[in-house]
Amino acid sequence: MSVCDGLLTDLGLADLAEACVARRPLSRAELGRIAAARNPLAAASLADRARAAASGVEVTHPWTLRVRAPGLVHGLEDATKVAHEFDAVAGVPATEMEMLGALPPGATLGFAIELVRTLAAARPDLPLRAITAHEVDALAAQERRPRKDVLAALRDAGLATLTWRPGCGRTPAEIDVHRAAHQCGIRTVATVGTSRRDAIDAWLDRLGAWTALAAQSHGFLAAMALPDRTEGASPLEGTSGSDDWTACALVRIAFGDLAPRVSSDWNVTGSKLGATLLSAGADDVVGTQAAAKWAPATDDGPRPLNPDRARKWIVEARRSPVLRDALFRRVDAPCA
Amino acid sequence: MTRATTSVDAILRKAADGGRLTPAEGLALLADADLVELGAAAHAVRMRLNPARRVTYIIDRNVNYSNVCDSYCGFCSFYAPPGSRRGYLLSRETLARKCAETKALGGAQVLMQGGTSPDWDVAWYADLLAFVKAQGVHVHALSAPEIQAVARNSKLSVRETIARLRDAGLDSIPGGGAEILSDFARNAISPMKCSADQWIEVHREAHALGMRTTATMMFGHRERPEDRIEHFERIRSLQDEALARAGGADAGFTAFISWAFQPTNSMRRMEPAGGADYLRNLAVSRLYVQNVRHFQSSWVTMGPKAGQTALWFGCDDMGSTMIEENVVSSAGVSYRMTSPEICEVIRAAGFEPQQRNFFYEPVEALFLDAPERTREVAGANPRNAALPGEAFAPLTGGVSMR
Repeated sequence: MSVCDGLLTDLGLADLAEACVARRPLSRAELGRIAAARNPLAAASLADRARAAASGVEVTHPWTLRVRAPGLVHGLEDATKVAHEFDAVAGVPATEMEMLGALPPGATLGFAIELVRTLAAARPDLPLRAITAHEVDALAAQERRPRKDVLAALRDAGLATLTWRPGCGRTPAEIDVHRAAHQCGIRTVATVGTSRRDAIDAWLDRLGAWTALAAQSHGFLAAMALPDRTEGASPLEGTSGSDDWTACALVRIAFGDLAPRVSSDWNVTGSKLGATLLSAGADDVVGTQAAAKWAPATDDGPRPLNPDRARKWIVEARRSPVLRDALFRRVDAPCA
Repeated sequence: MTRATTSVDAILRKAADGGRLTPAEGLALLADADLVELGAAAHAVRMRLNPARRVTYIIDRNVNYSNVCDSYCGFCSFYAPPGSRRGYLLSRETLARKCAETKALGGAQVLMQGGTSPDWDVAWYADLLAFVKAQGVHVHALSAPEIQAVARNSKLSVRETIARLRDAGLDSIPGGGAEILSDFARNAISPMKCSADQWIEVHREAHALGMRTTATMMFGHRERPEDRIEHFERIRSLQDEALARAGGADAGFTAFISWAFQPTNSMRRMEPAGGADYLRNLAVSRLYVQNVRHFQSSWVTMGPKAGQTALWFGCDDMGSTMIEENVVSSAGVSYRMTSPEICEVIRAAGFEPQQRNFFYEPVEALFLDAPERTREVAGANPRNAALPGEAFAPLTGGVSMR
């Protein structure tokens, strides 16, 4: 018996280990028992068994070209006028492109489509991750059109998958957007929002809503626990490292085989904690940046995490890095 | 289950139960142990040595009385060589103000370190320490390399040097300058600094004089796994000596503090160790060095979140609030917290906070250092170079500060 086996026995959780290895999604009551133990090591031990059964030592990661869309820099009226600024993104090695920054209040669907089209045209070789579920919901409300129509229009403009930011993944409307995305062929990452203020029952309800959609649509590329504050926020506001470990572990356990991967976004959790989440159920890393000059350091901008450092830290976690694109397809080398 | 896993599991169970690890077993854990298993074993040791679900912290500041240093360490971006125009020496007025600010914020200790200067002897340091001690604070000061330099400059033995500094006001000695207690690694990163044996000598002599010290470790640079194990082994052996000499009473090192090297200076192109390596090294150290009671989380270099996670990997202390820190922040890593923040960070990690003094005795937490009060008392960014009206004495070549 290992030390963790003993810990699980002491906490009355040993009976769950087998189900985790089999990647059988646990019941709400079983997840509640893990959460109630308030021991991130116990949760991680169960999640890591599920992770090992699912992906062995592999940890996937993209090489992200993070670009602040021109319209977000220069204002709404300029969305179509400054595409030439993107000439320089040609040749930057990457495997995906991420649009940074929120859509301005009052942005129309036409504006969003133009942004997506501009970005996609700048690097047609890179799948584009852009626009959050919350923004899709806002566009649909403003245009008085079904979410599915909005998503189809964005997809046709070049959107490969939805993106996220801290604070996402907390409302039923966002889950409905992901459902609509799956219905029109856009696969997404389930972002289970977490907050320091979440009551555990409410959070487990939210987790249950995400896994229910996963069981129904099988449209998720991955799942992640997404804190509502970045690491740079006051320590009085953000989730704790223990919270992030437990949330990541519960996402892994709850999704079972319903999500091919469990991600950790090192831009949000901080890369040093993020590297440790590879022992709490995560087997995918988001947060590398291909070219800092295209993503000026701002509150929602990138941290200085280059792909070499990410790979080193993956290896330190006794895992093997595998390059992927925004759709989680393996890539041998970054496109340039 | 493979044979290697079985073997590692057995080593982990042995360590969790209080068994003494051999170097080969320590190496096996560094190389092959599962990180969560390591954490569980290290946490079991922590809970056995410190059974309360309590995490301590201290309010203090790191005062760097000077940055002049002739050790020329490749990893340090804080020092100024003797004769450099960047060199400074804090005035007595500034030192007094820093001590007064610390006390006003609820602290009772300053951690004071500088560099190794060829100019300053034991009389100079005795004056300095006596002045700081007169401000009414616990003086946790002078790393082993500094003490070796003072002894050399004064042509005294290490024991005589420490005794004179103690008589002047030195209360305890920080573990700074240990880096890795293996001459292979020391020669790679700080060949001009005192040797591993000389670091050990300072702490051995201090313990023999009845003083308490701390042990530190900076890893993740050019050291090999066996160098890390040698470091743990030397700390553990020295603590054995101190405890044997004390006949069972608390003695020797109060705590072990490890942190990951932050790339800077001539080593700036190196990639730093990440969170997983930090937790692995921490857990193995907790399992290996079970005769040092307290282990400190390195949130200053790893950030509050990784610092919280470290509380599940063997640590029972969050260290200092760091009213002021100059050395690590010069490498571009800068985290500070007030005690209301550090208390909340500890609670959020699942533990109960307790303010302490140097000796890990509980003291009443008065929260005098609420964020707004800290800004009012010590400024928004209390660093040596940022203090308003700071009167640095620029040091140029050959100037003696006696």
